[in-house]
Amino acid sequence: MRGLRRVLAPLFAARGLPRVLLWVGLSLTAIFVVLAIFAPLIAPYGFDQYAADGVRFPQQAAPSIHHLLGTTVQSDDVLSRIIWGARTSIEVVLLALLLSIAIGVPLGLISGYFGGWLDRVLVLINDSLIAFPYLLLAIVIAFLLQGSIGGGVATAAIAITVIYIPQYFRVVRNSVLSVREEPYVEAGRVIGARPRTVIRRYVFTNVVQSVPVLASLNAADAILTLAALSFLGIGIDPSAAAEWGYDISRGIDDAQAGYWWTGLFPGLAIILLVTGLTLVGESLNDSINPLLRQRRFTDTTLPDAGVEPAMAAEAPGNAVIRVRDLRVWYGSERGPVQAVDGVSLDVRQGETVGVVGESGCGKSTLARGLLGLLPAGAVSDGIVEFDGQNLVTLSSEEMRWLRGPSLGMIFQEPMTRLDPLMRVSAHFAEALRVHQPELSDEQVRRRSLDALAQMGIPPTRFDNYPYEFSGGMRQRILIALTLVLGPRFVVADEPTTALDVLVEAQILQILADVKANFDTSILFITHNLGIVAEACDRVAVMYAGRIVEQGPVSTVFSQPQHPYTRELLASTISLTTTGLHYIEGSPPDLFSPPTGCRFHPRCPNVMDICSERFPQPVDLGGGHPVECWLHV
Amino acid sequence: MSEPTGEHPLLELADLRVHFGLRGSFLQRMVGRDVGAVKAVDGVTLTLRRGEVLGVVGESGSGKTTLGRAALRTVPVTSGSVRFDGVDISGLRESELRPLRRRMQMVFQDPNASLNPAMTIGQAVGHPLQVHHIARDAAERRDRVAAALERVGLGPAERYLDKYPGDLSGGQKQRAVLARAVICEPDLLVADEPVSMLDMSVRARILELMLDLKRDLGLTFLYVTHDLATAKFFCDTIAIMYLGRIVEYGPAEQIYAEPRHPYTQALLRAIPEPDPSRAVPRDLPRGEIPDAASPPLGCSFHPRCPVAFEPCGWEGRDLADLLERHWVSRSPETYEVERAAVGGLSQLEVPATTVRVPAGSGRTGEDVVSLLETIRGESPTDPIWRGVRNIRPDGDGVTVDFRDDYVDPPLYDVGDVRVACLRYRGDTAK
Repeated sequence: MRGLRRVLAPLFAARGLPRVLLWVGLSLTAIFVVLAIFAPLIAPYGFDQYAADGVRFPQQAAPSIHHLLGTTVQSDDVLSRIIWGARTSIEVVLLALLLSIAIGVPLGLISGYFGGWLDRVLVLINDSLIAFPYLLLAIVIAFLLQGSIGGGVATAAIAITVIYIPQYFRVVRNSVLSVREEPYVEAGRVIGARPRTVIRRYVFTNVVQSVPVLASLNAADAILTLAALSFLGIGIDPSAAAEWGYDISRGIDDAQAGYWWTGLFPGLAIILLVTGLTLVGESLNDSINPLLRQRRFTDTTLPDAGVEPAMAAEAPGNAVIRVRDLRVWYGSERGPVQAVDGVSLDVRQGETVGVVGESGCGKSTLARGLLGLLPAGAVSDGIVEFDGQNLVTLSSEEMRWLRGPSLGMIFQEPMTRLDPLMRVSAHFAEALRVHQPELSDEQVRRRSLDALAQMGIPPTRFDNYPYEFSGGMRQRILIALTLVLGPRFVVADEPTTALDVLVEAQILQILADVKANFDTSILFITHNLGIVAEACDRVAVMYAGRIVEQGPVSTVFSQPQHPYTRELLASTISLTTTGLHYIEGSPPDLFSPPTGCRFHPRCPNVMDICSERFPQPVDLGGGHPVECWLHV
Repeated sequence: MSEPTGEHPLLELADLRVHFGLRGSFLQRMVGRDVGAVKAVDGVTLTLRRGEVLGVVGESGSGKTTLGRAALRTVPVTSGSVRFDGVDISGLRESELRPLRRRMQMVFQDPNASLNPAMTIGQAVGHPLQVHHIARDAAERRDRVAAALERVGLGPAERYLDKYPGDLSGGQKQRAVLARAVICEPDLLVADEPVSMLDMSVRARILELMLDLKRDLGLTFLYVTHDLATAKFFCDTIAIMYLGRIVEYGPAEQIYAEPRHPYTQALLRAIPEPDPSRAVPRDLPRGEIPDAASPPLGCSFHPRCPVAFEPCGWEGRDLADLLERHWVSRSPETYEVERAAVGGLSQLEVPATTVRVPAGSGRTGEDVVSLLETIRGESPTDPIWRGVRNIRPDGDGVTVDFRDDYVDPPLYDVGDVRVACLRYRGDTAK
């Protein structure tokens, strides 16, 4: 139950229009459910009652005080038929959904989990059923069943069930296929659980979220299918129960003769119930589908600048990029999260600056913020000066034209950044053509081969597809793709984290060559201080959205001045490490960082003032600013 | 099923092979064509004494993860044996393995994915007790879960029992995974890269915790990792893996003090040091681990090895690699001229000691010979030339003969260490 509440919690956290739509949907559905349950109490008459107290109702009477929605040609009360029809619809839909879930979900679980020949057979049957026109399928089943068990609610429900089983089967099987490879499912097997326990406790609970969405959307669809069957005269036997589709089919002739009420009201009932169910289904989808969930937190308001403006390490030399008091924040379920909170930093011509810190300290947000690659819902302000303009104020269109020829980015996951259907040559042609349409084919080829050769990719592989390369080669191709346009400033976000040590060393060497040969400025994001030592000239140590210390790598590593830098250095495990050291606790939640110095709760040198006031940045000389009360 | 006797080593792998069949295309399966197999583990023999910590170290694609899985029999074994406490479990059915599972546990690489998001920490850590019917009732189970959580430093347990994995940090999740692994007091723990996805700042905490657990519970560890730096702190014995085989195996102090296999030496030199005075080493092996579906002839490491020599297994693919490396250093113009001298390179991409290099259209075998001689002239010390016996033109192409008396190196005993490198071949007799 707690699990269900966890799943549905975001549903009720919806705000604004989605909330209104959800409640409209829930209310509409609830009205029909109440009508269905209490039909005997609410409906003035029986579903096929054409007389009361021995007096026959008038035929085709317009809506009046006696018959609020009028009567039909058979003297049936339209209002009563609508209410009884609601009961029929809800019964059929409930039965159909329960049956199709009860059959489709377990089959999907078993098929997906065990695989093998059973899976292949079930998928084949399933695909054939899906390929078959679904209404035709329902008609055939309904015909067959009418002969044996009659034209009641059960027949209609089973006919519809056959349409929906494949949908549950397919959705559940496909999510099982991805979930069963998760380490936690393997963990279930490793602890010795039986397959049925693994399926029930580890797989089922993680694929079941998709079922309510599908069920509510299917419910809406089932109402329409039932109406269609009855409209064609093969759904519910008219003598067994009232049905809206049947009433519409009877009302068509009436409408031509001017008796509009007999067809209109059943039609309206269908529209309202279907609308209600669809709104509920879509709202469920919005709250459960993680891809849609993020969209809701776009409402971000600028928080107060509660901290000191930061100090950049100003030193001689021309800065290619000048960052001053950059702040980036984004919306979350609890409010704005201050991921980058006043960062100042220069990267000079031909210089590599490392940004280090634990995960959650804002390194990647800083990287993306500089290049205008923030996700929707993130907001930034401050100054990022490049080529005489402030990048923060540029439109996303203007940024798009700068990215490539002026600003480059190297990502962590090389495979996901290459189009698997495009040859390497096509990737280069596309990148070059967008920004330099005047190049000839031969020039494009020369420049691409040059860039690839710099990265150690042989020209013989120019027309290969991405999958024909190893992980390290893909990363080289991406670096070549970034550099072929000759950007002056490149952000490398953990470019070697996904690679093995030997390949990592190769990539670091390549980046060192790039810097030496092209005078490119690189901002190198990493969590590994060993990499900073080998690849960077200067280092910026980031904690909780702030740069707490920056300076030349040799100075910072030999005489770290901020306790966080010291702790990070001490906890780095390398071959020369002689003792294990770790930092207690974890970086703060940037939704509500600690008062005063943000590192004070974990700091070994904490003083009284540290929790009270934010430390003023102090320049220790030689371009080495530190934010720590020890130095004020 | 025998009871633990303590007489046997806890884990013995003998000539273990785990091959995964490639599925091939639909058509290939229809006609029953064999499309080969990936030899993830290809003849591994090792012994794990009680209380020992063995580090299995290698890059991705070395087969180290599969080796760990095979030791727990969560993947099927192709051939060879896996003896757990004297009992060969390599052929047991899953239902026969289940009672043994409480004695062998696993810690996974990604703490974010190894706890079921739909279970609370209390449920997840306590589930092994339920599965093996260890606790008498819910109250006892709760007590044991609380004790396990506090043992791994997640105390007071009440604060964690009802949390979901999403509420915990990466380090805390990994501790919960450790609590789940040790709650049934297992004998063997396979830890597959347990710290590589954690921040540097908490790695030491988890390593220290694992050392505590080893001391307090008498655990035996199989520590699977790519990182020789963390293994140095944790392991008594090291087995370096490359392409499904162990290439160096011995006491940790010796391996770190005097690495013998060129691959081990390279792995150690590649680890970044937080010391700005050290530059990136420039002479590390090129390339990456090759495809385990068709490994190189002879020593698997020879194509990347800086000290490879005559008997290492030179073959067609090494020549293709040489040509590609040569063309990387050429300007696109020169490349195009030289490339035209040679026809399709696919004839070289075979594991054979005699290959034919076809001449380009309108060119002769002599043109190919002169290209190869140019390359040889520029890099006469490249180890490949020590394996070339003969280059002879034959009309519209060239036949290259490599030495066919190559050796696939077994593990040679060198002191207390075993090394699969032909440079130690002579030492065996001593």
